[in-house]
Amino acid sequence: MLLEIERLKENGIGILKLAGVLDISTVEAFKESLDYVLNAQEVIIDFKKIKFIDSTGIGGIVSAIRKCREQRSSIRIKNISQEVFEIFEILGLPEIFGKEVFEVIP
Amino acid sequence: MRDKFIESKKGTLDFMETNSSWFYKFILLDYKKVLPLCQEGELLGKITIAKPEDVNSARELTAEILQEQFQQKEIYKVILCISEAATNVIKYANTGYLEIRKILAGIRACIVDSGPGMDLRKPPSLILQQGFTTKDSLGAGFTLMYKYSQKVYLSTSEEGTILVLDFNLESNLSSEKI
Repeated sequence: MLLEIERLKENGIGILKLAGVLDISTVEAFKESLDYVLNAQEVIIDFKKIKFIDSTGIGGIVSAIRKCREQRSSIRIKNISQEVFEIFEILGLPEIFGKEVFEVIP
Repeated sequence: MRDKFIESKKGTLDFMETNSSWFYKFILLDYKKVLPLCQEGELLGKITIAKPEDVNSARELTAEILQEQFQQKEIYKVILCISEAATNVIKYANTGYLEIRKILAGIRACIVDSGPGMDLRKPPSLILQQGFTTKDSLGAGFTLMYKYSQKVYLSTSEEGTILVLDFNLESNLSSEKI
C-alpha cells in the first residue's frame, strides 16, 4: 500500500495518521478518509510517517484545510519534516492558511 | 508550421523578455533543438509512465540510480521534480516515459509524452504560478521543478511535450588523492 491511513476519534478530536506517500495515486484515498473526521471540532493530520509528498498531495492537504474551515473545524498538521515544510513554504501554504496550522519537527 | 510555432511562443517570449531571471533558467526550444539534449551523455535508466502508480515507480527508479553517487538531500530534490513531471504526463498527456541520463554537468531527466502539448499562448505566469490560488494546478508542479533544478528546457507542440531537467548534484564520491 503506497498510503496507509489510521483514523481515530477521541473527545471531539478527529485524527488521521498518514504513512507512506501522498501523490496522484493516493490523494483520492486521503480525501475520502477526511469524511471520517470532518464532523470533529478539531482535526489533526499526523505526518510523522509520511515518506514523500508532491504538489498533488499538497493539493489534497489544501482541500482538507479548506473543507475544515468550511465546517468550522480547526485543523493542524503535526510532525512535518523540514524537507516537506520547505515545499509547503515554496507553495505559500503557511502564508495562505496561517503558520499555526503547520507543526514542524525541529 | 514554423509560423504557428512562433505564434504560439509569443506570449511566453513576451513574458521572458520582461522577466530576465526566468530567461537563464527556463529555456523554450523547438523539437530539433531539444532532441540532442535527450541523446547527450549516458542513459542510466528509462521507465514508462502510463498509470498513476508509475509516478511512484519513476521516483523509485530515480532513487535507485542516484543513491550510490549522491546524498539523500540532493536525491530528494530530483525525486520531487520527477514526481511533478511524471504526474503532469498522467494528468495531461495520458502516457509518456522518463529517461535519466548522466551528463557532464550532472544528471539530466528527460520526460517525453505524445499528448496535446501545452498552450503557450498563455503567458507562463499563468502556467507557472503557485497553482493553489488558481484553478490550474499545473503551476504548482512547475514552481517546484523550477526551484529544485538548475535548468528547465521545454519543447511542446500538438505532437507532444518534451521536458528536460538538469541537476548539478554534489557527488558523494570522495575525490581521489593525488
